[in-house]
Amino acid sequence: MAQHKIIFAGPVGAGKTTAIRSISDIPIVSTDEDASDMTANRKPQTTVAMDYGLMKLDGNERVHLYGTPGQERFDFMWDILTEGGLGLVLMLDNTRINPFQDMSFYVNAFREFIDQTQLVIGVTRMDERGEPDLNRYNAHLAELGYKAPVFEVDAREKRDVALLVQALLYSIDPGIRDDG
Amino acid sequence: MHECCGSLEDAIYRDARRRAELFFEPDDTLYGAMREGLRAAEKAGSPAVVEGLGHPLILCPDQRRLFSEMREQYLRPLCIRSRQQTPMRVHAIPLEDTPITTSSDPRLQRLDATLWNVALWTSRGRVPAGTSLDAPVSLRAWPGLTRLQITPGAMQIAALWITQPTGLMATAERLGLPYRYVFSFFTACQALDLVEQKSAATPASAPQPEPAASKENRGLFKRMLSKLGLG
Repeated sequence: MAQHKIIFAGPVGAGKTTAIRSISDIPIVSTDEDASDMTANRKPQTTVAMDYGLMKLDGNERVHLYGTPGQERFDFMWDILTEGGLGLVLMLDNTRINPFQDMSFYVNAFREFIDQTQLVIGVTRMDERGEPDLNRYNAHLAELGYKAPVFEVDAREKRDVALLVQALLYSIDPGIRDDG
Repeated sequence: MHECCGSLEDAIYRDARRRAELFFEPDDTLYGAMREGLRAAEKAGSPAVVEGLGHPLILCPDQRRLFSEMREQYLRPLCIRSRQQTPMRVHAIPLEDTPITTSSDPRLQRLDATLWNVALWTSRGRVPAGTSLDAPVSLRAWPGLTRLQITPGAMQIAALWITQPTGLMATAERLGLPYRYVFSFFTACQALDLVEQKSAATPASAPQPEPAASKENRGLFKRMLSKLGLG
């Protein structure tokens, strides 16, 4: 049975768990715990190990969806989680104090993985705060050396998350066609 | 999709005698009037208005918003009328002349989304006059496709242009898409200033060989797209 995986990363509260839930065929397996540190300011519970969801395809094929813990003190897990992954979905929260600092941190942390695969970025909570806009996100991403899809998303909306994953797949291979 | 991509058959795109059918003159359309309005707003440092449509379109580029009481169903047919048929007046207006409203007011729309739609409804498979059909097209950045109307093939075309500048005709041939899909997507991206064309003399980059891993994954990716309801 073929196994594949997509990695969801990003800071606490950016919507990784919700995004995985939006496209998973199983109830997500989560390792949320009560936040006991500064994380509690943004989210009463946070992921301390990882989230896990699953897309079941025809022919018993499986795509595993892993959400990395948002707290940096768990970054030792990131290399393990990304091994063999198809690509990275980076979720960023537009209401955080400095989402560009978050982008820099995660892009640099996952740079080796991104260089081997592809990156897409979903920016959440833009309805709550419109600035910075996507043009500025694209400009900052270019400064980091990448031109990747950056989309406004509502992680609760399956369509938004599905489009992010679609952009990831086409970034890997623009030649995917319905007929062949 | 007819209203965005038109109905021109591929044979017309290949027929040099029918080349004129592949182009439209932006300045003679509502799309051109909106672009003119954006230029006027930028020059004046204030909003601009397009008048003559029944309801004015107020363009606020600073906030990337557009204010209008005109619904989409009325705006769309105006895109295929010339400015001789529908005379329009475009000028900057003082900020204090714009309606006071709240962000939840349905008359307040996203400027980029409306401009994108107007470009598509104007294009219908064509590109602005003067566009090279062969000069390589590159994308400065991906359009925000979760909040814009997605035309057929948009993701594929964007993924190609972001990494491998490719001419309009060659893009359709390489991706196996109807030419009209590529032409409409180009026009919409140009409306948001996302594309650039190198000079026609600049050769397009040679198509990169498809990595073996990519071919191996093609079946998987198709099944994933199908699963996500996007295949």
